[in-house]
Amino acid sequence: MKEKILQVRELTTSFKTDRGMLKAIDGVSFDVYKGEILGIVGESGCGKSVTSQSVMRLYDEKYAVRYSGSVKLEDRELFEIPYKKMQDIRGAEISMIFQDALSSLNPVLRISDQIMEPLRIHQHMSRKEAYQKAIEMLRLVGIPAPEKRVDQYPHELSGGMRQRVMIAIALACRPKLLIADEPTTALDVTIQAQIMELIVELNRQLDMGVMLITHDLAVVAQTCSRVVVMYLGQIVEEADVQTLFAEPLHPYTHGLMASIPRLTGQRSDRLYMIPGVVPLLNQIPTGCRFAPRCPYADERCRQQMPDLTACGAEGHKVRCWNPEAAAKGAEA
Amino acid sequence: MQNNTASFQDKAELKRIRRRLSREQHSLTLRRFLRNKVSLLGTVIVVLMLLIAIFAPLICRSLGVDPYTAVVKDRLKAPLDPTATVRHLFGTDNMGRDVFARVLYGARISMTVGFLVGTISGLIGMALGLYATTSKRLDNLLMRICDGLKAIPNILLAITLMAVLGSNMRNVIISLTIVAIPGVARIARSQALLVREQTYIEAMDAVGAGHTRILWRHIMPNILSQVIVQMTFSFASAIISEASLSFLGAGIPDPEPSWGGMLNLARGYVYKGWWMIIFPALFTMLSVLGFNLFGDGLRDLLDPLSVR
Repeated sequence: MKEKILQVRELTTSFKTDRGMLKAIDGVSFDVYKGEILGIVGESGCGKSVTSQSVMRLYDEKYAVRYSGSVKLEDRELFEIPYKKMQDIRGAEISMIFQDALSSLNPVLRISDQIMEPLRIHQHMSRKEAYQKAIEMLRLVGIPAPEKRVDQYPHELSGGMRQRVMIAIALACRPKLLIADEPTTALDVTIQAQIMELIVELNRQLDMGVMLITHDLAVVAQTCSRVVVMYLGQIVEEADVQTLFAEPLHPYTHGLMASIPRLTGQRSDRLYMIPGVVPLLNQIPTGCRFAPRCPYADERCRQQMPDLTACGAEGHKVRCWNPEAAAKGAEA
Repeated sequence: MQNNTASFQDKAELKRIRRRLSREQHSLTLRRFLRNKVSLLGTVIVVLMLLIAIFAPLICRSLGVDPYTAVVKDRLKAPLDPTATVRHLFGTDNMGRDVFARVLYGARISMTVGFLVGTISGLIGMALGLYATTSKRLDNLLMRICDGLKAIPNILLAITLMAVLGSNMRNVIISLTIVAIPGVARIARSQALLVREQTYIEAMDAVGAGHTRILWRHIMPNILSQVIVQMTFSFASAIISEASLSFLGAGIPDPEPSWGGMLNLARGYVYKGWWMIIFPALFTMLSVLGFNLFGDGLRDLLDPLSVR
C-alpha cells in the first residue's frame, strides 16, 4: 500500500449566512496517497472547490465558516493547528493552483517576485538564491528562455504560460500535496492538454499527491488513478478510474457520463441532460439528495438517506439504495 | 559553423530591437502625457514653481533684494519705480520690503507645505485605507472617523486645529495633513477592497503569505497610482488652505513671506498699492491651477478607462 498523505474524515463545512448556517459540504471522507492523482468531479455548486479550500483552511474562520471533522496531513491534524500556524503549511506542504490562470498573477509584480514569494516566506532564501530557484522552477514547468521570462510581467505571457507560472509558484517549495482546482478551465483545448500532461509528469517526477478538481470527465479518464464523485456536498461514488468508467453505479455518475458529447453516433440525437438543477443549499431534499433528479428514485429514496457503502469491485463505494437498477437502466 | 555565427548575430540583433522597443514604449507613455496640451501646461507650471522655490535665494541675491529687509524710504513703491533705491520688479509693500523677493520666498513656503502635506497625508491615508480592509470593525471605526472629519468644512477644521496648536509652519503642516488624510484614506480603501477580492491575492493567501505581507507587497503596488494622483490634489489644496489660513491670520505669522499673509497685509492698500495684492494672488492661483492640471493629466494617464 502506498503512503497516505492526506486523510479527510467526515469533513463538514458550514457557512454563516443571514438564514443561518448552510452546510456546503457534509461528511466528506477520502484519502490521497503519495504519487497518485485523485479526481474530484461533479457539477458546479456541488462542493468541489469548498472541499479543497477547507483542506487548506482558506476561509475566514472568525466570521464566515465553521468546520468539523478531521483533515490529516500525514500524521498532523490540520484542524488542531492554530489558524496562524496554517500559514507555514500553505504553500510549503499543501499548494494550490486556481481556475483562472489569467487573473491569478499580480499584474504589477514581476514573475520572479511572485515565484520567489513562497521561497522567501518558507525557506527564508536570500533574494539571489530565490531568484536562481525561480529560474530553475520556470525551466521545470517547461517555459522556454526562463532567464528572460523571469523578469517579465504577467501581461507579457500567454494564458498557458501563466498557468505554468502558477504551477511553478505552487511547486516552488516541493509540497507534499498539490490541489489543482479546475486548472484548465480558462484555457483553450490544446493548452489544456499540455497543462494536464505537465501536471501528470510533475506528479510522477516529484512524487507528490495531487487532488484534481474538475468537471471534465475526459480529463479524469486520462489523468487520475482514483475518482470521487460529489453531489450537493456529499460523496456519491468513489472508485478507481477503470471501475468507474466501466461500471458506474450511481445514477448521477451515469448522468454525467451520458452527458458527454460523442463523436460517433447520429448528429440529430439530442445531447443527454440530467433533468433539473443542483438545488440551493437551503433547499436540500430529505432522503437521498439526488432523488428529485433521479429517474429510478422510489419512495425509500425520498424518505431515507443512503450511506456510502462498498459495492462491486474492491474500493468501489456508492451512496445509493438501488445501484443495480441504475446500472441496468443505463444499459437499457 | 557559419550557421552558428549567423544565428548569433541574429540574436544580438533581436536583443537590440527588443531593447529599443521597450525604450520606445516608455517614451510613448511620456509623450501621451505631454501631448495633452492641458497636462503639459500643468507640468510646466509645476516645474517652474518648484524651480522658483529651490532657487529663490539665488535669484534674490543676484538682484540685490531680500524678503525681510524693510527700507522705510522705499515704502509702497510701484513696480520698477525709478525713484526707489533698488529696482523693485514687483514694487514694495507698506514697510518697504521687496514684493518680488517675498513672492519667491513665498513659493518656498507654499511648496514645502504642499509637498509635506501631500506626501505625509498620502502615506498615512494609504496605510489607514489598507488596514481598514483587514477587519470590519476597524473599517467601521476608521471610516466613521473620516466621515466625521469630512463633515466639518476643511478651513474651519484647519483653523480650529491651528487655534489649538498655535501658529507656525510646522503646525500648519500638521493641521492640513489631518484635513487631507480622510480623502486619501477613502480612495485607498475603496481601491484596496477591489484588489483584495482578486484571485491573485487569494493565491498569495494559498502560498502562505501573512497579513502584512499581502497588504504591503501585493495590494499596495496595485493602489499606488490612485494614491499618487490623490496626493497631487492634496498638494494643490494644501497650497490654497495654507494661503487661506495665513490670510485669516491663523497660519504662518507675518515676517515670514507666505502668500496668504501678504494678501492679508495688502488688504489695507488695495487702492494705494495694487501690486501688493496682484502678485501673491497670481502666484497662488497659478500654482494651484498647475498642480490640478498636472493631477488630472496623471489620472488620465494611469486610469485606462478615461483614455479617449
